[in-house]
Amino acid sequence: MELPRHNPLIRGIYLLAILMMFLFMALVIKSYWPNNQQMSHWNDQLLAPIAERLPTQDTAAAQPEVNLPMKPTAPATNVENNTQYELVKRANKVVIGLPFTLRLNENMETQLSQVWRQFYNHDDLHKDPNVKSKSKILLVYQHFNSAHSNIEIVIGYAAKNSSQSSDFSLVEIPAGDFLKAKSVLDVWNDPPKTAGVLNYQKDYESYILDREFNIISQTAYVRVTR
Amino acid sequence: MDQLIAYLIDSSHLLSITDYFEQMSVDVYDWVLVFALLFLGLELLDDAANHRLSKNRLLETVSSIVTQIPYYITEIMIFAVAVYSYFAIYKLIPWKMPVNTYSFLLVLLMADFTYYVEHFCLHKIRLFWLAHSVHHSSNVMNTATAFRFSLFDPIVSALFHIPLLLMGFHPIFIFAAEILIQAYQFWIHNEMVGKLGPLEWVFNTPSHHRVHHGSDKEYIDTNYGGILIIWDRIFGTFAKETKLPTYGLTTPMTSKNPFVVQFYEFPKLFRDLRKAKSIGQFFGYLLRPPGWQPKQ
Repeated sequence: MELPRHNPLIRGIYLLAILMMFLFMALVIKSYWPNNQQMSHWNDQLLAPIAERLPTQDTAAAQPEVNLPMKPTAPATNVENNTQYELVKRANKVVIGLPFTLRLNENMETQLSQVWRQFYNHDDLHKDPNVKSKSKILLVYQHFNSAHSNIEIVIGYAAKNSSQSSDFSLVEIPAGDFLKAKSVLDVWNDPPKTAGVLNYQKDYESYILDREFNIISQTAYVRVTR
Repeated sequence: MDQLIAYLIDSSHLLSITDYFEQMSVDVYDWVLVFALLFLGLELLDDAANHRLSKNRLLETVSSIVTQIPYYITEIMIFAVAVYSYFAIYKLIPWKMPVNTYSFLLVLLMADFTYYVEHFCLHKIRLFWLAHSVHHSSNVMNTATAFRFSLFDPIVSALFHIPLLLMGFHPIFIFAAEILIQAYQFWIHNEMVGKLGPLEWVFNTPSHHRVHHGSDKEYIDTNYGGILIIWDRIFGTFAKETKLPTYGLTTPMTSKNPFVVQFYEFPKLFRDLRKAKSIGQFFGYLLRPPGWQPKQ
């Protein structure tokens, strides 16, 4: 079988161009390709600061449940934690996101891993028009239920307003005084000796990520009433 | 080269794996179009160097490229409807396939098989052949032929990929896979590349695709594959290139008029439908292979 006659030089350039095209496309795909290691690394980076502080199944065996008080009624003065946290004022904030329930009797690391994974894969939330900014992810801890030993959380973004109808949960965090820490559950678990009462309601963590979805910074804000 | 790629590709705004595949597939398609123009330029230069660049050949090339205009107009509209519909259906489906790189590779493989089935039906069902005959009507085989589309092509593609959606695959994965399969096929429309050895066993190649475009008796209705030729080998629709094919339709269509190119088969079908004596004959003309006639 013979092809039509071709100029050898032009044909050579043509064949080279095809090879270059495939090489170029491979580089394009490689530059976009989120390999599993990267995804896993991203998840680990997100979870590491949390996992280090949360009770694991081993520690849970010794302490069946996270040592949270029933209800915040008295100042947190009868504890030995003398850690000084910075007291800051925060403005009113609305968060739009996905709701989850964390069960305090189960492995928190596994639960949070699932939470972040589902959040990452939820395209509709990322594209919701009510999302104000995607540069910061907010994780709101609310509705601590001591009877059922669970905490309701919402993970998402700052929203433009709370009135726009949405398929997602909207949580309004009123303005007020907050302790600035690293982890909400840390502070809940070991309240500081401070001149304020922890509310255990609508405290939140703020995560800033880089372009590879690694955590650049993580800050927790725990409301206090003085 | 990595720096050039980093300059050309900005992935900082991507937030999810579906974002990755969406942007990557569109980028690949866009760059394939750039390379396709380079290939076409080299082919025309080669034709000129070998005294093959006749007025007819040049006009045929232009005629193929011009079909892109109506194609993109309908593509924009159909794609918009398809995207909305696919996501609406996806939300209703209670089962969902995982959204990760492995599932994307699976979608790519299944989309390639879907393309094979779709392509088979485009040749074997006359209603679909109305659209696909535009692509086969050129008697020239160069990269411009890869651009030769019917304005009805987007409709057929959207319909055939619904089963993948019903399986629970993410719509973005399905669209991205289809874009990559279409992008792959631009480089196989030429007479510059001969046989490629072991690659011919697995992949669709210029040799296999020349056979597909041939109107010779031994080449008709063969080699339907998209990226992979294995489906043709498995299902018995494979034919090896033994001589240079004769391109075009079995009843040649030589017009360069863009309207005639788009609607050439329509009057023929209407004439047949009008002479149908029963419902069975009517749907036979519509749904049976091109050239079917009722038994007398």
